[in-house]
Amino acid sequence: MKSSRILVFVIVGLLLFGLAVISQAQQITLTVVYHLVPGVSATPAFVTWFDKVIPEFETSHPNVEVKLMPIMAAEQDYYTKMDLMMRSPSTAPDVVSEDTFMIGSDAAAGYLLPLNKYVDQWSGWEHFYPTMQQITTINGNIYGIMDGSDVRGLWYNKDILKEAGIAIPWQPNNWEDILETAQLIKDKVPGVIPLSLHTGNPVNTMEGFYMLLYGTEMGNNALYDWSTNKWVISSPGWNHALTFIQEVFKKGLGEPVYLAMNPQYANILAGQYFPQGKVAIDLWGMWQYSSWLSSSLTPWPNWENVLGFAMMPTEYGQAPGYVSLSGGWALSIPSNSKYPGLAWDLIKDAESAANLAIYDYYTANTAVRDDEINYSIYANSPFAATFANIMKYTHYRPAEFSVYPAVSYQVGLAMGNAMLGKPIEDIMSAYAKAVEGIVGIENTESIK
Amino acid sequence: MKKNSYKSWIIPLLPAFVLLGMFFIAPAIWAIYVSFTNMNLTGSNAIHWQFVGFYNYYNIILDNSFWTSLLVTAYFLFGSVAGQLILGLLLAVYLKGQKLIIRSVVEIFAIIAWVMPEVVTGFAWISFLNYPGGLGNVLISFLGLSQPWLFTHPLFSVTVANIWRGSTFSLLMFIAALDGIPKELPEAAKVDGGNQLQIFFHVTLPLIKTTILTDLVLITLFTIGAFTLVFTMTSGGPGDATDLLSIYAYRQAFNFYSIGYGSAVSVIMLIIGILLSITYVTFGYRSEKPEFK
Repeated sequence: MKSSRILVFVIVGLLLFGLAVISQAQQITLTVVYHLVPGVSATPAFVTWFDKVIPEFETSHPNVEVKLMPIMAAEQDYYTKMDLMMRSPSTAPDVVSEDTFMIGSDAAAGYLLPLNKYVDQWSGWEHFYPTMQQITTINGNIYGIMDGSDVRGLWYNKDILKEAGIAIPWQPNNWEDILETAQLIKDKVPGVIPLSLHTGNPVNTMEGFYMLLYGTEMGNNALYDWSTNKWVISSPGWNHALTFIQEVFKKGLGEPVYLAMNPQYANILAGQYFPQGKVAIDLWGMWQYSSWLSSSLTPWPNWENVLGFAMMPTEYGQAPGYVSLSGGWALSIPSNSKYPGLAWDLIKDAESAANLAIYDYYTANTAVRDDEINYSIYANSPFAATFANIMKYTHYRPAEFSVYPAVSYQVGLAMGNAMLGKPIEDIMSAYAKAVEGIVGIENTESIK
Repeated sequence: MKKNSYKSWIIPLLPAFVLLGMFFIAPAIWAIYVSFTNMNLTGSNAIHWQFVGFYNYYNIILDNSFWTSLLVTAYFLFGSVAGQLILGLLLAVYLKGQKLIIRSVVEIFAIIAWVMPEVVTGFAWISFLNYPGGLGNVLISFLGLSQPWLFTHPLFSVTVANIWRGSTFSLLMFIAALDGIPKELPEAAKVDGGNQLQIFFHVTLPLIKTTILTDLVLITLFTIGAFTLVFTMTSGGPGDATDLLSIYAYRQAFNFYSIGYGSAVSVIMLIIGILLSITYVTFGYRSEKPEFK
């Protein structure tokens, strides 16, 4: 009798254990890796976005739990950590947030899953702007779905410009206009930074240098000549862009050099200098305003009334008249993901027009889908029409080349040295020699 | 008997050999092997890497940035080693004659500086040198020397920070060495009419020469591998002003994703460390020879 009771207990116990094991086995966890930039917002835009996406997804997938895994690191270290995670099946996440400039090399490394078979059956894909589709498509394979893009231009403080006697809205037509305005500000409104360029931090090549270089005569071919497939190591445009930087700092129009060298300069500017009215013009990206939203760590309710955003003109105002550089991020699935099908379902939910409209508002990005504008949160976002208009002037870095990070570092050194007042010829010859070493002399060209 | 003695030392040492093999020798051999490949962290060479012989080393020699880093490392090494050695020795000599309480307090503060994580030390120095308003700048403001030190004198600043952090090691070594000198020797020299300086240079210094040599070798090796403190303070900048070889190697491997190239730079650093150690030891042994005669 006693032994049969024990037997019943054992059997029931085993059954319960078995059920627990089975239910545990059916519980799937999807891991989403994203880059956490500290110091901007108490709740990162990515988290706000997924706070909406995850409940929707988990309702339709009851046995799946979505886990966000932030990586708080400098941007380049984020890519390194992510690549190291994706290399091994034991550490690979299921969804990764990739800067589009890494997609080419990560795809070549076999880290990313081509998404064509999923995208082909997804009606949402038709709503993505063709350029946004092309950025993540390599040799016909789609390796990511863009979640936002950006443009760059000239933020300016209307009050300071008015004080200097400059008509508002301000829109310079060439570089000379910018220099004249900055000089006027220096003369009439002492104590402010007339023209902030961000040339002191080598990672800011897009803002600090390409915004000038791509506005020179060679335009889209100024850094990498797409007609010859060679890197331009010397050209009049290079000379002019470096000279512009040098002139700004020589005339005392730029930010104090020690401040420019501070890696936190952009945050200092957004958190202190802009709200305190200490900077007149800043050549930077549209995302700047995410630092001033009510959800940020440094809210500035009045910013929309105080600031304006002007397009960056080309050197002489030559066609097309204006210039911008764009980047953007995408969601991708690592080829080592254990649950690519579920990961795709999650991406599909996240990249719906309604959810992207929220994300692109909080992250201060431009829309990647043509139907995001149908949602009020995005439609009412500040300067939306201005930013959308600039997209037609924008360029993209030649980031699909694996040598690009090394070349970009040399560009960063060159712009920094121009700021420090080193002779332009020396800077250009050092850049030329370094790039010849990186890409091979046969892949470079000098334009007279 | 012989067999027993063999067992008596090999068994206790086995765990150490295994650990050393797993965590030092094997990775070092792997790094040397990788330095002869074109392995990348991303791009097609991440999966299809090949043996490329001395190609990485050849490119390193052609790279101006490498030579700049080598020069920066040489300045940093010389400044740090000289500073740590001299400061450590001076402090040790000063403390030798002090009361126990003073000695203990100074030693505790010095050890705190030494055991503090390098990242924390880096931030402390950034704050100290902050411009305007950093404590360091405030303290020297009456001399009119306030300036953004990490911008105006970056290499000097990081070297001073490294001396501040590393002198404790020399201090502890020299305190132990000075304590080992029999009291009779300096006393005898004093009786013979030697003044403090003469006693220091002709009695104390020769007696702790071996410790100085050991200290020199160790702090040289620490300094060649220094990374965290300088990376935290300047990331190798502004420009390439504090771009140590370790930062150069890191950038190549993890910012430019060229693992093979970065490994080759690390191997060069290893060779430099070995060469310097051999030079010190050979030089020290030769200069000690007459004493053994």
